[in-house]
Amino acid sequence: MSDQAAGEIGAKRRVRAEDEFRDAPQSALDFMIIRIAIRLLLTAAILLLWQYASGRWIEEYWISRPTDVAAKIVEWWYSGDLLTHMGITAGEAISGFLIGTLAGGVVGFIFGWFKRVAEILDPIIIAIYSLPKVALAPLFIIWFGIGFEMKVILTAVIVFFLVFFNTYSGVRDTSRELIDIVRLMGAKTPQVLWWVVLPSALTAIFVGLRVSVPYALIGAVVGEMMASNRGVGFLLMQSAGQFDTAGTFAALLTLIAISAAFNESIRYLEAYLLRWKEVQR
Amino acid sequence: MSDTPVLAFEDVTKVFYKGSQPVVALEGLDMAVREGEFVSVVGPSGCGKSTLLNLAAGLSPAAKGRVVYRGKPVEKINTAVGYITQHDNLLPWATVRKNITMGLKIRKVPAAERAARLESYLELTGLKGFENHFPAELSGGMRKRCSLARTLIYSPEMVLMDEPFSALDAHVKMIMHKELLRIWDEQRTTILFITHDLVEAITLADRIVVLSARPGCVKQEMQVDLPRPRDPFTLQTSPDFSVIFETLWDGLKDDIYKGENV
Repeated sequence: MSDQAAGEIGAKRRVRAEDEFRDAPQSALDFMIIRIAIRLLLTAAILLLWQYASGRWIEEYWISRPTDVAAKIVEWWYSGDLLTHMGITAGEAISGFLIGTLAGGVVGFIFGWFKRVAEILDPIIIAIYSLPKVALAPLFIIWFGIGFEMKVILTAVIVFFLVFFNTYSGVRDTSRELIDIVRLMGAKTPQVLWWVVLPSALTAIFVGLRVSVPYALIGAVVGEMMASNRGVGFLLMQSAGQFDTAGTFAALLTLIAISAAFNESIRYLEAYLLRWKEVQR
Repeated sequence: MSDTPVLAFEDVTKVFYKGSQPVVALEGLDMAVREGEFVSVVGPSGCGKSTLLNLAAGLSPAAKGRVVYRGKPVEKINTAVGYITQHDNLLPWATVRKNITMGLKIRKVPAAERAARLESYLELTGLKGFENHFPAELSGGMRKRCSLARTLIYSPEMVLMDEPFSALDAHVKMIMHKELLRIWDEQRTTILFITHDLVEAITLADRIVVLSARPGCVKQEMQVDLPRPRDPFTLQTSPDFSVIFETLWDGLKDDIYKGENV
């Protein structure tokens, strides 16, 4: 066979970048647009149904109506109430979340690394854990007053346990072989913790963080509902107290917005820190 | 090659406990590895081959007898040895570059030298172009080479290998043998290589130690006088190879049925 002929076969068989493959994945963008369109349509349908049902099938007093709720949000926006109260609630939730995460992470690490500590203290931790944390709110009001601190601490306590348990099991489940290999290379304990145990436990820690987001808001909002004149929890109580259904729904929507933003941030952080897992499928 | 042993097992017994039931893994084991020697240990499965390496690495203590490294008993983790396990045990969250240079970083090798050595080991193991990949993105053979590079790059005095190629398919295995021999011919590091594969042992080692079924002790020792450099792809056809294989197989075959996984 001449070189030219071989070249022709090669040319024939070569795959070109502009070739279309039947099994090529649909572009991610197409998927995203379809997904978002369906979500928007669904939301619109629910809102329309709500709007229509209100005053026709169900008395407006019970369920208000979307246009009234929207009007309420706009009203709060212009009076500055919306951002003030959202800021306070988000501030409490985030501060409590950070403190609880840090404390839960550190204690979880100690328990996971020193097995003896865990064996001795386990029943005590379980006992405190089995207490519904909101029941601590009255005590915290006595200790810390009805201000910002009390909500932060209530949130921190709730988040602490969720992060603690996940960190603990994450640290404990770190591959023994992996630790040994790195120690044989001459690594000291801090290096082992930083290079092996922390990244290995991170998967479990993020499970704790994701679960913690809604709970962080429980701490802040319950605290505000019990004792406060500020925050979204206060808005909620105030609106409900005045039988203002539109205001109540508006406050709930505000909470959903905070929670969603919070969740998204955690997801971004997780996608970045655990990017090595992306390729594992 | 000098005659002072780098590593010596002196009448070593190792016991594991299944609950409170003692299981004797090794009993009265005596063997030594000399400087620059490539020693391979073969034996039926469950005969305590891997235990041998854990003792040498100081990861677990002997019940009786002594494990001696360069004249000193091994009492804590032995950082003079590098350990290549059956699973590649790469850090899944670290890139190839970080995995390979970790040992150098721990030993505080300056960044410039780290980069230079990384470069030469990427070349040596054919991982060039993959330094920013995560282990999950590599094939089994590449992960193995990465794990070899990670250990060899910081030049431990001695390398322990625990069936490192057993998970690879036959062709990749032979390629790995070729590469290991090529690297070893350059460095002549002392190697203690565990395997259950006689062909692999003969291809690689200077000397082969056969262990008995559990409790494991030395049953037979044999010098492999095949000339180096050896070519794993043609070695098996040589008559000398067959003679060595037959002799070792005679010693091994009775015990093989006493192994755990039969």
